[in-house]
Amino acid sequence: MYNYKNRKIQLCLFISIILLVLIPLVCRADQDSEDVFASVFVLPSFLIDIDNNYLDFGLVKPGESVTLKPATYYNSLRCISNKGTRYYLKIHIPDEIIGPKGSRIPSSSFKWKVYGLNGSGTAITEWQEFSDKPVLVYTSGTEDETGEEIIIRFQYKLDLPGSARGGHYSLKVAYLLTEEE
Amino acid sequence: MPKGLLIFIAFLFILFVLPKQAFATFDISLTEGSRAIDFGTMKMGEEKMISGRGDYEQQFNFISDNARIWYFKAQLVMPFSNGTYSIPAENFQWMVQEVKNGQGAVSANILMPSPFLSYPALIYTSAGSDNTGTEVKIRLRYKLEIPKRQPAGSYTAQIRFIMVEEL
Repeated sequence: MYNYKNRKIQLCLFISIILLVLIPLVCRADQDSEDVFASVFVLPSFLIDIDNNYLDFGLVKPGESVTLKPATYYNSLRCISNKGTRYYLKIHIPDEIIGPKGSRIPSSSFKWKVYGLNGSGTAITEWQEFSDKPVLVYTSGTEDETGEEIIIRFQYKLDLPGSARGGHYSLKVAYLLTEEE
Repeated sequence: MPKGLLIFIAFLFILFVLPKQAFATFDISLTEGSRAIDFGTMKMGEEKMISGRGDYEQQFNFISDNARIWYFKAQLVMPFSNGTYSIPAENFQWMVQEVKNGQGAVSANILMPSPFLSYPALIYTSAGSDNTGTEVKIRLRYKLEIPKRQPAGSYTAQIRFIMVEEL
């Protein structure tokens, strides 16, 4: 009698174990997958553009000093680089400023300064004389080199020498974006 | 152990387990298109939809005879990254171009791009004959938008396409 009861318990236990093994196998959710890779090459950008490329000082008397839009800025430059390397914005007047009958005004009579900017780098914010060689305006910061659009606003001033001959003078200002210091 | 019990267990095993393990079909396979999706070169701010095989880029085939609903999901295992910088996951999107032989439903509107997510997100839910051995073909195309501010370089992403019976 005792043996029979024991045997029954053993049997129940055995069936339970078997079912515990079988049920998860039968009910298991299937899964299959495929892996795919995607690639892209983001092209380097290194560009500069200006919103107003015409500087007009109007009529100026010899010995007079004129600042264009003194309360604000005159024009702004947009610099973009995503190359991850430091860049420099430079400015200069490459050619001689020649007026009537070959008269000249030295480029140092024209001055510039950075009025404002949104970059993380360093800019020259004091009045500087123009030179015929490129001089540093702005050195990029790390954040600037990841494709950030950097806007640099300029002011310009003319201190016309008293000896300047009357007439029309024109000059060209060059802005240079470079990776060379 | 009684002989009858052994026969009963063997019967259960043959009836339920063996067919599922040995003969059941549950398979996803990339049948058209490359395992490497190439967007080529792109500029900052550019958007590109690729469909190198006419109007689609890849075709996945699905077959299941488990008589249970299955789900097709996609997971962006690794977003586009060049090791230092990455392109936001939402800028990379999939779009179902066509479902062939399927009786189920696409989770998004067909021809409507949806962003890849960092977890398995539903693309298609099977129905009817999809679950009884009919081979379903789903054609996908992909869209990538480079942010307006993005460092230059080579970026790679990894996507996992999953066929699963659990939602």
